[in-house]
Amino acid sequence: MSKTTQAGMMTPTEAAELIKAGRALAIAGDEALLATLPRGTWVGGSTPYFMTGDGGQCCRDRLFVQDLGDGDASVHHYDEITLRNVLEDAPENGYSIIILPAGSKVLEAYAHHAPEFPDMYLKPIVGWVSGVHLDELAQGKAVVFDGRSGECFSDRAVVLHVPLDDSLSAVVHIVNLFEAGTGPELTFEATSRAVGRCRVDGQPHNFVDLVLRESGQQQLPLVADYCGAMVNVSIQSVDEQAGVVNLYAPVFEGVSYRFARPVEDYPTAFLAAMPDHAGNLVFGCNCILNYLYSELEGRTTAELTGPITFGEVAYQLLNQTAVFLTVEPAA
Amino acid sequence: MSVFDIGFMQRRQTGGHEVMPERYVQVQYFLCPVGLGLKSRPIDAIVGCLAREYAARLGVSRHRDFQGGIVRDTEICRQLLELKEPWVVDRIKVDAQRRELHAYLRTGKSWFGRPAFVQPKSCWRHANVGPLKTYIHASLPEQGTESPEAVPFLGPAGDDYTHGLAHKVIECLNAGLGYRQVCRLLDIDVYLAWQIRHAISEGVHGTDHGFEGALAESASPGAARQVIPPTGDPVWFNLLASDTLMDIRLLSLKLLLARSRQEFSGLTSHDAKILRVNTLRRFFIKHEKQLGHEIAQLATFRESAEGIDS
Repeated sequence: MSKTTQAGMMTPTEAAELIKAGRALAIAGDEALLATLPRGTWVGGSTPYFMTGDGGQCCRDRLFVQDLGDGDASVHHYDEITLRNVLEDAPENGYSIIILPAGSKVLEAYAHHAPEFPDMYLKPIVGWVSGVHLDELAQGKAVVFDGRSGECFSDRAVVLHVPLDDSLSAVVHIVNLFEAGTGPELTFEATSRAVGRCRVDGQPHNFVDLVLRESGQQQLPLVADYCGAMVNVSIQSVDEQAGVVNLYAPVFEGVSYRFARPVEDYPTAFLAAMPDHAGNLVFGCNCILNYLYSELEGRTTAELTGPITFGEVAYQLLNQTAVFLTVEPAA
Repeated sequence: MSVFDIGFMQRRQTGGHEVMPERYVQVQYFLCPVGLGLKSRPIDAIVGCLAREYAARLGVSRHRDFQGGIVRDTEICRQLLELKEPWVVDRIKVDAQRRELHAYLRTGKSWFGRPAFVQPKSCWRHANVGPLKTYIHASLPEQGTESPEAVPFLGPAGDDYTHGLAHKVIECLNAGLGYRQVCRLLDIDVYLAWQIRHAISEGVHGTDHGFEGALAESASPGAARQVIPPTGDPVWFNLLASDTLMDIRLLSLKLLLARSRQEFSGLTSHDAKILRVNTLRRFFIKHEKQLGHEIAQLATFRESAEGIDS
């Protein structure tokens, strides 16, 4: 873990001490605990699931705190209109951590339009989608917190912009164990999260039928190859009556997708995929679907700890992917 | 009255006589000091401001006059906006409180000395004249009579900005300024800058604004230029136009290149392609220290190059 920063499970009292000490923090946990924290340079999001050094766990009486140092970090929040400015507010050298509430318009805006935002890919941005306990999906509401004011939002994104010294640079990494399978190539005529039709090898096709047949009980995501980076789009639900497949992230018009091939032993494969020395790892998160489908509860994923999330951000919104950010000496 | 319709005032001052709807501006306005408190200044100060800008652009001494000591405000405006025939300024309005100049253009011929009045169909934001946010009101010529794309003081039908303003925005962006900086510099809001960039990126109008020269000049100075090819190098077009694999280590470059390639193939506008090239090149410059492996591969994309004019 980081020599200059620290991350791990803490009581609200311990987290409050760090806030009062002027540390910049990204905090994950139960909404009720987050609401008790003092004002300071922190952003927070709701989730009861975490990857800790002791393995995956569901916990509602402690918080997962990522300490990002005591520099000139700044906290901002954005609605779906102002969100496009997020990277213009980011430091020229540094990184940004964004937390977006699940089911919100601001998440929808990020999912669809992030690749078009000014300075996208030029400045590092990572983050996650907040959520609720899986038993409370019907009545719970995902929230985020702006630590400056202590405000809680279900319709805004909160962002921590962290500048770095010129001698350092931030690098975004993903660990995605899924690879494109050997099935047909799929394309879509519009960027959307609710899809009824697709093209299979160029021919129009019913996407619902295809998902029921090819997606391995809907656990296998669609995978697109972005110049060697595998980007997943996970299946949320199939509404046969409406003839629509709901996705956790949009499929993009003009991008080719294939269903992933299954991953046999996720923790073992994950350990193999993580670099031996991840470097100064200051932020990490992993997907709730990996936690569920790969049964990560009580099992560790190397150095990568952090919240278990309902969507991950490594520049754009990703699914079923672990994200981490390292701070490295500028070469 | 916050909005000053100079032409209307002239008509009123001359007792409603139907003379040319223009007011004659005394050369003394050239000498009128214009400070920052523009909001509270009278119309004379606004016109004085225009006149100073005019004098500065034309290299005219503040003590010299035009046409025997008087200059028409519409003529000043015509020259400031660099209008070309057959366009003339029909009338102008200055809103002192909002720091806005509205110029109404026409091409119609006079009819017994009186201009044919046509209600302008479009209004475009143009580059500022001095401190004044400038809006052009005009109707685009009928198809086949003139290419509006070539005219910087007009804009695309249905859009909010002139080609001239779009050119300035893109020049600034390509020079490496951020949106906020561009907006401060040109006194426009960020959404307008974004609209312009988006429209050109998408090749919405299928037009080119001739940015290539400016882009070549805006290539970053210093060491980066020695290592990273300039904007006009065919390497960039080939890299974006091809599907050839490149061994990339940075996630951000993988995502950027994939997206740029995906969009590049659908672009018809040369300007839109130049924008993509510049975004990619900016990435290489910003991350030069981390991209030694990738920069070394760029040369392979120069083979079979046809250049950006291809």
